[in-house]
Amino acid sequence: MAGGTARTRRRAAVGSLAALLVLAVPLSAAGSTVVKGAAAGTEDVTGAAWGVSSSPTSFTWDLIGGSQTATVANDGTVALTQISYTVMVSAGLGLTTFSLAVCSVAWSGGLCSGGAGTAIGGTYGINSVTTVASSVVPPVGGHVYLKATASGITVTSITMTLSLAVTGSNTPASTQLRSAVTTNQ
Amino acid sequence: MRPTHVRSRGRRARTMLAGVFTLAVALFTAAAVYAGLTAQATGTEQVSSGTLNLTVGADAPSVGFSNFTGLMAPGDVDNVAVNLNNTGSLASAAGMTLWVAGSPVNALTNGSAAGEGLDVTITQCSVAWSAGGTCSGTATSILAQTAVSSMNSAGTAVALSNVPALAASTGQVAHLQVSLTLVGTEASTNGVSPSPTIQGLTTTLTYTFTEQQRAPVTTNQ
Repeated sequence: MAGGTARTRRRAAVGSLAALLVLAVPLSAAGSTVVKGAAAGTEDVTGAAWGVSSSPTSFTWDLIGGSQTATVANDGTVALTQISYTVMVSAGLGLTTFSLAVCSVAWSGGLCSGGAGTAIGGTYGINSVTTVASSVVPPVGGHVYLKATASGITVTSITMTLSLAVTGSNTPASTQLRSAVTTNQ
Repeated sequence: MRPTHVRSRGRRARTMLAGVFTLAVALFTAAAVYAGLTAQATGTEQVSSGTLNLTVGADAPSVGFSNFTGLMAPGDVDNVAVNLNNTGSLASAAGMTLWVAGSPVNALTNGSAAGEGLDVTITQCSVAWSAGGTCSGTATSILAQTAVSSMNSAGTAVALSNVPALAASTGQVAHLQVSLTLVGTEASTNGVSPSPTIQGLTTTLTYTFTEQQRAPVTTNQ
């Protein structure tokens, strides 16, 4: 009998609570309703990509100096103004200096359209790391051509390794891409 | 002959039945009397609800929001001019918000490349923007340069400032220039871009402007 009474009270309490909720929800909703209007527009955007690569990236000389060539490709989708070259010459023995030159057409007989091409930096010594920049750049999808030269005699095998980098930045002084463009459409 | 307690139960049942019958007759009679005393009065009141509509469209000669076919490099700016028009019958309150969603979500819009991605700046002109992106009237900043990654969901919508033309009465138009720029500094080495990167990505930006109704009005008439 006592258990039945408790059950009855519980049911009554639950019923009362449910009734309160039914009443409270619409009141609360009515009190907080704010009409909003929205408008949307869409715009498609694609970012450019930038980067260059050299093939090959290293040159090795054994005993005798001389020139070797490589091709630099613009792998990106945006015009460049400059490329940074980090030139690493390995340790070794020899009476040699190394140099790097670039040409916008393929080297022919050691010449760039009959000339010497454009020097990239100065000369590089054995066991050195130097970063220099060149403004001779390949167009998008195009190439420029490098010539690495060892002048003198190497006693041991010496390797020059190149690392090419291009930096894009919204800070004009830092970018190696074409100038920023403003489009009004 | 039935036992005494059975006869007693039968009497109680007959008594209850008689009581119920008597009560039903009484209620029926009372209802009839009450119905006979009902009177009605009616009055009519016409009510119309207002509308709160906001539209966004091209602010000629600009093409408005569209497909930007160029490939954005860091520092590039794409300007479009749009009209934001309150076409409803209700004025809006100050406090318009904007959020910009990217689809697909990538480093252009989600901040995964720290400090890099697309930024939006909005300026209002008192007259239509020229084809060259200049304002011949009075220009007012609506949104300072803000990274899309910081407002790329409804929950992170940013409040626009200085939108008097839209906060006033209905039918008002705001001439907005929406400037999109790519921010970032990245070096690609030997043809390989860093990871994550903002390079070579495509996204569709959806700009959602939201206004709220003017403050509720109590009218006594």
